[in-house]
Amino acid sequence: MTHSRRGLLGSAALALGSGLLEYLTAPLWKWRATPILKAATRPDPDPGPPVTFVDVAQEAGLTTPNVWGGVKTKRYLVEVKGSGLAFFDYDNDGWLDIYLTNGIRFGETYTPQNAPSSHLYRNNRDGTFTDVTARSGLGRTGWGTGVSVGDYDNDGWDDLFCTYWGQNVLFHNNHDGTFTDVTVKARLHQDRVRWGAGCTWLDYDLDGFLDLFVCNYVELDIDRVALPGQKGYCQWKSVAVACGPQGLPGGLNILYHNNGDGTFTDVSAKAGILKPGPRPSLSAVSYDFDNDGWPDIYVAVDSNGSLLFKNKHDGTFDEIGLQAGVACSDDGHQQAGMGLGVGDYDCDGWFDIFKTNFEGDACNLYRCNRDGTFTDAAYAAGVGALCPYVNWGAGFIDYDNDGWPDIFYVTGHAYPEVDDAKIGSVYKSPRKVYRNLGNGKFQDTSALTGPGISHPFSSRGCAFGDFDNDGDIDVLVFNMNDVPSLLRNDGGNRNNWIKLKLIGTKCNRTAIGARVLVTVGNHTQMDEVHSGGSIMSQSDLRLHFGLGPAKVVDTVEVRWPITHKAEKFTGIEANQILTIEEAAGIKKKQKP
Amino acid sequence: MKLDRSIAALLALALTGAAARSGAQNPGDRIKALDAEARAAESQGQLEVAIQKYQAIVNLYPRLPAAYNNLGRLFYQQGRFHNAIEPLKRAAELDPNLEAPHAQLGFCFFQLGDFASSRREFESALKLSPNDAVAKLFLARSLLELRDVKGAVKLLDQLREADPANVEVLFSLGWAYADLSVSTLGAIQQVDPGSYLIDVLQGKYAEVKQAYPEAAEHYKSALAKSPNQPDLCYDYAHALWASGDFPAAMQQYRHVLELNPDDYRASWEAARIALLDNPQEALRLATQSLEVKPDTAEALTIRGRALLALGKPSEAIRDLKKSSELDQNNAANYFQLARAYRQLGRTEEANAATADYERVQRKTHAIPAEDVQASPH
Repeated sequence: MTHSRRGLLGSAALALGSGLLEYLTAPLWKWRATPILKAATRPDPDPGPPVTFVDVAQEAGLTTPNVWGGVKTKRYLVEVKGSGLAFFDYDNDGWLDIYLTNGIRFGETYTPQNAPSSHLYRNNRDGTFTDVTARSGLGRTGWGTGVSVGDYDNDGWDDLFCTYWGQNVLFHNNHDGTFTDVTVKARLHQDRVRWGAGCTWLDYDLDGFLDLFVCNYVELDIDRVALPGQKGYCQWKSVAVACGPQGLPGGLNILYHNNGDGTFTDVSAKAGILKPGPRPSLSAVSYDFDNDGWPDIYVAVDSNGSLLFKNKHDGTFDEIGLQAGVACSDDGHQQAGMGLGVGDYDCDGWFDIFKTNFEGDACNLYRCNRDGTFTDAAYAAGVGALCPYVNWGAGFIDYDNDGWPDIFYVTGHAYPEVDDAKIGSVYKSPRKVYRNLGNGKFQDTSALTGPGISHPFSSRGCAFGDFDNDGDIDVLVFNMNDVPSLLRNDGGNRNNWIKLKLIGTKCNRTAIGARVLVTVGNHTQMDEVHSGGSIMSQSDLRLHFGLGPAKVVDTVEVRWPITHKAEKFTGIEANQILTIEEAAGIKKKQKP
Repeated sequence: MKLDRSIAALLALALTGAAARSGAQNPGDRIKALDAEARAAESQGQLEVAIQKYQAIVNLYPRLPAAYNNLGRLFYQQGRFHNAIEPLKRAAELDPNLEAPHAQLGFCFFQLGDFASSRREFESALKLSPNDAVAKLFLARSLLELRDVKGAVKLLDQLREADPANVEVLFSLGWAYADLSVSTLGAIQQVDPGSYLIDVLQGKYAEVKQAYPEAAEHYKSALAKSPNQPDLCYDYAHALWASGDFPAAMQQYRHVLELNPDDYRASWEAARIALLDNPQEALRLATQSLEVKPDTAEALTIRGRALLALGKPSEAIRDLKKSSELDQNNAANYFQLARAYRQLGRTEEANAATADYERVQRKTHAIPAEDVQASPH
């Protein structure tokens, strides 16, 4: 399959021919030479009726609550952390399907009939979903934590990697609605119980095959760990709670190299991933943070310094979190890093990082200094208030399509025991939405964005994507011991938009790492195809850009990994989904 | 458990000695055999069997105090406190100089909520064995339950002096102080129900619980009753800051400084807020604090950070170095020093400061081996 894809490059010129396409064969695009983008357009200060989010999970058929440890009390940390979920198009029909992780409950025995399991829901293209778990082969019972989507064998169908407190699983997409567990065959089987958390696909060595980075949280042995309140330590604000993560041995993250033949090799030591030592890592995402054309890795770490692995272009990484200013708070304090989102919120051509933390701490907004280092601009940007909630999955999404990435994150306390403790904390809390004002600042619009935001849940992972293909970003949220929330965006598509599905031919088929710049007038936005992120979750792999009132995109520029070549498409009509294949141009146009 | 083991050891001696003293034909051997069987059963968790063995001993030799005591101890271990009392009382009657039955009786009564009786028994135990720290601790707890807080604090202070790291003692002291606070609050309410001091005390309690928004509310109420008290205004400002309400905290700090320009705490804490978006103002406020009290490590750190934000890394390094000398365990100083050196391109010094930062972080967050797997966020 790979060979045939490579063959396409030679015949690229034949595939061109669209008047919209300018195919730039040379020179190679120099990533570092990118001028700082100018972002002159400002969002409308009076954007009209607010965009709202409405929870349509019930109507959509997402009615099965998950099981995630005890409801009112939790004995072990694994019951506390919860898990993620995914928006992905497993059947290549152009509509987002849904994968939901699931857990179990200590002390309960299950039969095959009543055991909670992970679920796959097929999009019926009418706002509803059908549970196709049984046929798909994806139903697993256990502590399923994270999920990440990528086409590891470049066969044109996205595969699924799922982490567990237990044994991680790689599911190969069989192209017929079913999946096969190929963990052992792919050499991803582990010889002991580990606590896999966030994970992300990336092609770190630019060989055209997706590699895999897996966060391991902590080493948890429930036969040894102290119980809530025991020894006087397992308390939070005098409330007896599950022990950890402090005091538990941290996990070691893993980088698996894709051998190109369906197998993987653990290269963590050789690649420098083990150098920072064990840490309770929760979420990982890969972007090219320093604009050198090679994917780097950022890891949100709980109760320790977060990690930034800079790609050295030779198969190894340097961990530079502290030096780059993204390891801890601006005053040097370690934080309980949870979820993260990456985006170019100030539209300057450099990716910024938003990281959520624990209650009583502020979230971080690491603004890139355009030199590979960052400054925490959270307070100046208006998102740095101390949070009264524990914060989890997050992302930059342009929910109102005004051309500026906004911030969305979900919340929910770690410990249900706080509800009865009267210490001012609540287990279930609302979501948060901040609108990007286009001047480096954000406005808290949570109170304006509808019941889907204000209704309290104890949420964990969240995934972003346009499940109804109506041109605005919806949100799928994992809620502890509850049904998921499917937050339909109502009104975001009053502004115009463009959505891009990229297909790699020389680079990995999923095009992870491909960068897109969308320009309207002198306002340029940027994003990269990525997996992972938020927290333990997978968002839509298609890239979505709001266009404000513009009905035409002046330029869409796609910069492909490996070749580092840029393809430009001009005069693109707004409000459509384009499928662009590397070196072959626009292959498909889809309108709502 | 520690107490049980010590009692068991004590009783082992007592029982063997008693058997030897009885002088009967082979009675010692019989007692030893039963005692060994009882211990073996107990070590295997067969408490009921062990109880039967000791009952056999007391049936054979009804005047062996240690056997009664062991019997009572086993009942206690089973949670059968009412059953334990009679044999323990019998042990104490038979040998008035034996401490263990009194201590065990004290525990039984304590568990049953009869604190007057537990007090009596622990006092008896301590007369016989004044150094029994566990009996003393539970006498103090009995006194606390009986509202004799001062008596309890006296005992707990003695215990803390003997073993400053005993968390049970520290916990009990905290309990005693909390009790004192509540009774003091009650006394104020009786004397002057409208006093602002009631709100201040409630604010302090809330701060101990880390319930800062609640603390701020109490201080606000206190200020409404007794405005413009500099220290109270400072408490209010600090609680607002801890709550994350930075604009309101800044306003209050400024009010404190109007009332007392020499309040160095208000100056540097206000500087800490100003640092978020106005480093020039942070520099001014931190300097104001340092003019009043030059060796305030926190103010030096804040001024160093302000200088760094203003692009003056060399000046920042002076302050940050001094601050790190004053407070070697503040990792943040090394973090900022590394930044300053990096700004100056002094990579080696930056790396050394980063290493110091990581070292102090490890030290600060180190958890004793015995407490591994036992510490939440």
